[in-house]
Amino acid sequence: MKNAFQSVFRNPKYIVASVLISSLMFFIFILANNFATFVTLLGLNSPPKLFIEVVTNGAANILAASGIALFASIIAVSILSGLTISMIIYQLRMTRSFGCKRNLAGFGGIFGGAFSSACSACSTTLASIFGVAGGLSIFPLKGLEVSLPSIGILVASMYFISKGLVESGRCKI
Amino acid sequence: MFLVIGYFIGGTFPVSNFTGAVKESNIVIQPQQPQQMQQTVKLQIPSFAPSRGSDSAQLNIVEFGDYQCPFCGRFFQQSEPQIKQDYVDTGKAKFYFLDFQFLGPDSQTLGQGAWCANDQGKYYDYHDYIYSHQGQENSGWATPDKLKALAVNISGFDTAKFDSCLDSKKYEARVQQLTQIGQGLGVSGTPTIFIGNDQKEYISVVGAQPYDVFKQVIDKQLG
Repeated sequence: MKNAFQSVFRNPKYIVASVLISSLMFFIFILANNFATFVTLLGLNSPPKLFIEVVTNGAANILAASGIALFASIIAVSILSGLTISMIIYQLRMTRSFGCKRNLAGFGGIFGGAFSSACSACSTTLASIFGVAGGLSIFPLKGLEVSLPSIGILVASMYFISKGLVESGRCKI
Repeated sequence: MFLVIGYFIGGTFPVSNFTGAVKESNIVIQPQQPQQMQQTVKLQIPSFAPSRGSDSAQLNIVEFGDYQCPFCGRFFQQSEPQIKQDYVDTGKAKFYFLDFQFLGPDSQTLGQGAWCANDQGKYYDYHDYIYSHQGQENSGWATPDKLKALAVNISGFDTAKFDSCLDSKKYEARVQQLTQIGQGLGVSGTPTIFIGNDQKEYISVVGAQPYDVFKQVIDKQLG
């Protein structure tokens, strides 16, 4: 795994891609969970700085109201998502193949991250759509129940991608 | 994909897809045609609901909240004081807090306590005190006994009257009814703040958003 990781991220382009994708994922997690506010602001032709303010405020709210553990887990999912997607891009470019179905697990992890409570309101999370009344606020860990397995899935996904790259002979061992 | 899912849960969807008027108590909700991208709802504030601000204010700001919700606590600490200073104290808007007590049995108790406080004309003293001393949700900080002990600290409070009212559960139905009305309005999380009046109808803002978001909506509704 280490060798595959080094092969991918030896190229600075993939480091930049990871940082950008991680930031984008964090933005998307907050955007998806505060979508009503974004729709309201769009309807009022609000200036772009207000959208940024909602995102930064959303991050501050998670930290203050949901705690450091959940905030750290959302950051971790964002970073791992960035790394996983960068590795998939590398794999696609090198092997001209998506790999196999197990790489799809990575997207499962990313999707799971979006279900974490990255919201500025009690209950208005993506979990509500599946009829979890009260959203993640009814769970004792307030969303860690979802984000921690997501982290596990993403790490597993990175392992399988690395293994695939090594087996395909694209990594120097 | 995230955007589509976000749209479904974001609070806009339930309002826009709400068909047929609902009559509950003194509140009437009717679906409205979209004005550009902005959804509005019609909301008649119950006559029994106490407010802050001038009776002649042009606009109403109606919060549906849960006394245990940490994000309602954030709204209370961050945006509400500025809204009060710029719009309520200047006579431009009236502020209402209505129950959406859904986070557990202690939320129900806290909601009932507010109406017991209202019997003594202390609805907003209670509101301010509880949010200033909010504990972690469902940690047991707001059981009936703990609430009675907290209420002792509200100045000018008749604690015996409050305790008796709370024990009688006389406002249990009101709290549940207001929560159901919020659900009928499309409230899916707290705080949800409706800003408007009978003529312009109401625009909702979901969550403890920055003051500038509320300012933008209030100014639009005042303009």
